[in-house]
Amino acid sequence: MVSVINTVDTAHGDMIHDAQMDYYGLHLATCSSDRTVKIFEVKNGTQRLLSTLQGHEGPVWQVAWAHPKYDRLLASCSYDRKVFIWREMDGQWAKVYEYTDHESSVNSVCWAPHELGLMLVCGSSDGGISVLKHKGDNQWEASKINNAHTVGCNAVSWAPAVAPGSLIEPPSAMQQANFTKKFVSGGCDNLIKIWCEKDGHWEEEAKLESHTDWVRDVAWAPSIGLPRSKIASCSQDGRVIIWTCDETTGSKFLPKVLHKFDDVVWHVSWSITGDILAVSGGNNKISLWKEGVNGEWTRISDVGKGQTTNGTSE
Amino acid sequence: MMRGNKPVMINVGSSVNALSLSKDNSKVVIAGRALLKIYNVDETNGFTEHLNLHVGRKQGLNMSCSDVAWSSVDETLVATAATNGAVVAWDLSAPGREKKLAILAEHRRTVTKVSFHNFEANLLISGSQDGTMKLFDLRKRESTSTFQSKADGVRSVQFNPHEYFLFAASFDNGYVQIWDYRRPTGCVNQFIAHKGSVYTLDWHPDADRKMTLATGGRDNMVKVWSFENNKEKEINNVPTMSSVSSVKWRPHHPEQIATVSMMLDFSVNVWHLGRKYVPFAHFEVHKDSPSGIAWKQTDSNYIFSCSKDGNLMMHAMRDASCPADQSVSSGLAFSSCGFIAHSSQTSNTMVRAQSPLGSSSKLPAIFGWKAGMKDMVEIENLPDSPLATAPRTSHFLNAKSKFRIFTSVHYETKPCVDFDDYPDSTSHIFEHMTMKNFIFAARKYILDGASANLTFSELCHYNSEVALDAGLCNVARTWKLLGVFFHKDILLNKSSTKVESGEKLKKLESENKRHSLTVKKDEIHGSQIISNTMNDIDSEHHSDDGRLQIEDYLTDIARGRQSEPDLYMTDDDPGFGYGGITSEAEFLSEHEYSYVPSEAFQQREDIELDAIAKFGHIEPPSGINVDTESEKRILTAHGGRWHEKVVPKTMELSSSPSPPANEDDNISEGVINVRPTLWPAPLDEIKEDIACQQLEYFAEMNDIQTPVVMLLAMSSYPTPVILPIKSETVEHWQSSYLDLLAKNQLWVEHAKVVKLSRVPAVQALSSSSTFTLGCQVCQRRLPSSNPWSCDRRMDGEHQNKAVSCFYCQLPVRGRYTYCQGCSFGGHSSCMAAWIKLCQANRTPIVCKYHCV
Repeated sequence: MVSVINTVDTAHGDMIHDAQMDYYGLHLATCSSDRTVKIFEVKNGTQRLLSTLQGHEGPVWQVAWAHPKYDRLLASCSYDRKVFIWREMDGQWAKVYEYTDHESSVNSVCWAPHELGLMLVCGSSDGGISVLKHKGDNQWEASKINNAHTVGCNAVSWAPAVAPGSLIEPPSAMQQANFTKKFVSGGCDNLIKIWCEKDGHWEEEAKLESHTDWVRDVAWAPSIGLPRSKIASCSQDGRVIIWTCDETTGSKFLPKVLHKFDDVVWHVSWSITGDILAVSGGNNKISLWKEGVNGEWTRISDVGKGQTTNGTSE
Repeated sequence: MMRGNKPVMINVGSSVNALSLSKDNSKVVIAGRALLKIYNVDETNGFTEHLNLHVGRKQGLNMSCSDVAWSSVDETLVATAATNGAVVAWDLSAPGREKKLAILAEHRRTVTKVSFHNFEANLLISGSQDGTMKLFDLRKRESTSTFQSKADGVRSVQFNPHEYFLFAASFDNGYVQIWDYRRPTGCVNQFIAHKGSVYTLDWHPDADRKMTLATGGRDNMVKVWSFENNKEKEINNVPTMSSVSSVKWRPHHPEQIATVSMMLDFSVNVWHLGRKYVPFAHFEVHKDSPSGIAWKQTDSNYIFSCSKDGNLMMHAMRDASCPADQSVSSGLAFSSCGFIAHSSQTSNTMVRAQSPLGSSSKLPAIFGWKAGMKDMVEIENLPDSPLATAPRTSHFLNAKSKFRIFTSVHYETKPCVDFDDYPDSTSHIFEHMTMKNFIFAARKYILDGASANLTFSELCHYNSEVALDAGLCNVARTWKLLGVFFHKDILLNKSSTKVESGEKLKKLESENKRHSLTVKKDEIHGSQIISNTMNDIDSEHHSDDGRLQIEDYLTDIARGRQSEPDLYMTDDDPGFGYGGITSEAEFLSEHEYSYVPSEAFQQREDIELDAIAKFGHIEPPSGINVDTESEKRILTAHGGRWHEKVVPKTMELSSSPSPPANEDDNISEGVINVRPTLWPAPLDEIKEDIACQQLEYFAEMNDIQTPVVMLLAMSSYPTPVILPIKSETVEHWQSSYLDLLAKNQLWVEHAKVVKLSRVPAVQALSSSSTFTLGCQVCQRRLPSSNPWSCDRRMDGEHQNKAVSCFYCQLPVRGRYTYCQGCSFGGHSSCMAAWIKLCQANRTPIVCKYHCV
């Protein structure tokens, strides 16, 4: 059903921690413990290394592409406590900004929905979460939530921007105020927290408790169709939980355990239409899940390492 | 991210500069500016003070210790290095409080390092800021040799633990020297090891690697050197995160090395040379820079560290945090094209596995990460490694990633024969995931039935077939249903007689057109057909309805067409390139119009104002405030639905006479089936609800394409049907759909949706561009308001940086000649040459402004 169409020789010198496709699915950024970020062009099932970004002084944990309307921007975060913002200009990547205000490894970065403007959220092992706002002319304003998660924050993900008039461009100050700026974070305190900006401050809107070990990843589903909020979270306890919030739940997020895996679950990722969830775990397998009409989640496929052959494997 | 126990620790109250362990590792001596103490170490009791050597009030500068060393041969010998240049030897066995053995004040500047010989208890070497090393014999109480480095200040010096006569020294200028202490005249070997100071060095403790030296420096690097025939060779390196102030090999673990940093980083890291980017173990406990580290020689699971914050600690390896263990070992991404990229940790042995599904598609070779394989042997070499660490090491080293991209293989456009054969199987899901049918349908759907001259039922039939081709049976069925429901409400033309008389003809025409549409749609000229048809309809339409009704105005405005010539588009739109339209008739006769692709936007500015102005006679009902919403209603709801929706409300709320009058107009025009049915048939009553429910069902199933496309198709006719769905919902659907189109780079379809949309926010998108320009000089994006000049052109950067000539690529100083149309330009001479060249070769000129 699902097959490997390509095994990419990333030539990374160490473990790869994250891979992200850009908005159009044409470029791929990978980051690795070897301190580099690599940019690939993926076309017709082949890929070509375009660039290797060097500059981090520690393993690079995550990368994130900005919306293409802000040019080709890539954010990366690293064990070296830094967040870099890279920009491509004429095929050349250059670091345009460096954020160094975290006291420990920065584990996760995520760009806000483009309607909210150019904004980046970073979660760090120092327990803090920073929100960087572009003020124009490569000036960035940081606001920091200290002690968002005790022991550390592992993952952040923005809520999709849904507000009437969201497509008008350029957004005026009035219209920007309409947006609810929200993101979700998961941390080593086994908690998932939802943060909302109110009067320029970030406030904890909700605290979701259910996991029994470190939360490894959170992903807010793209909102297509119904104005319903859906968050997927995965944890070291092996569980993947779908949190939903709509009128029927009374603006409360209700958990539903998708599955309990035997191993740590590293990542959850929504398809762009938000109806298929990909889960990757410690057993090196990806499984795909789809919600049925009755609200039940069914596993539609396992993508395992067994299917990686027919070519010349080592 | 400490997860383990707290280390055994004590705070000694003042900054500690160095530490050294006794021969049996049961005691530790620590030294600082006003500190020299010996502690007993016991894992159960922690650190207990054994002896304070810093006694008496006036100790002088001799006691300001920068380094301390405990002889590994004689338990009683300790040496300290003083900042004033003195080396002090201590005899711990001496009776009484005064235990100084000798004060060797020979260096002129701070002594940075002292080191005992590994076999000769009385031999001591020191290195100083004055650039010399001195070998002391404690029996003579003076130096026996002085080694002139001819380099810079000495940072570190150490005897080789296996080669009796050799010692190594490192310097502030990045050099490392190897000396034979029998030959004080010159070093055996010297080389540049680091950029900037080499703060530290450590000989490998193993006899079989006796000529291996680790150095650490200001350049954040740890380098491992080996020497053969006195020639150095860098065999490995570890790039750490900050300057390395101390390195120590871990005993019995030949590939592991501990480091501490001089500043910024307060952690103690243990690295494994087999995986040099991630620390193998990590202790983050100090509050200030750690100043010294020492492994417990008798049990390599313990490491001591002291810090500027006065803490002395003994860390157990089992308590270390392991960044590699905590790191995410897999990456996962969905692409907008339906690919999944996945990186995962691979086991060291790649197994040739067969796909259980027997997939026969060609797969390229699998690449794994190969570096560091040679170090795998090391795990087996561990002589007496405790159980806790061996698996961890192997686990740590096994970290490699494989990176793959997945997609569905079984994608075939299999048209399903039967409507009931709704393939809610996995293959359907993967087709959905790859979005191939989404793209197929997005390309093929006809949204604007009026301009394609298709009646609504024909449009529904066509789109239903498109959906079938795309394998979306449910969608196809819904299209059919819509056609049945609304074919009487949604008319191609206002005048019903027109429709009836021309029905047959049109059907034939549209049959032909459908062929041409499907064939030519992707070609550029396909649009001509559509626009020609549009012209036909419009001209007929306008000639028939000479006395234009308000709805006609509205319809035209909403479709971006106005009969007022002065409000018509200005000729600055480059897509048109002609001006001076004086009348609509002339405009319609213009053939250039047919070159505008169907998705092209027509000027839509001031729609609302105009609409309001035209509706001037409709006073806002007294009960309703004039807000944007009521304006929207006027704008978006018109034609048949306008009456059905707005008019009854206004009638309820106010006694404004205009809307009913309007309705009368319609009736008097003889429009059949357009006017609201007063006693509707049962189907007519519920059909809108059914349609709404169906569309909402699709939206709930995450198929956003179907509801958006259906709504657009229903509203694109002169007599549209607007389903009672909240405008916020419609906007949300449309914006979601537009985002998906953009992600799949379906710009033409994107533009069509924006054009047909009746949501003001979506319509506003037509005024924004999908591409941006950057300034050549400052690389900033040009403002969308005037994208021809950088708003920072007056800055110094712009003034000083010359723009390069497009022809010779050299910077232009002085006069810059350029075409005002295309803005290409350069040196006057180059431009002249270019023009000549073009004329000579008869090259077609790209720029239409005939600049050349």
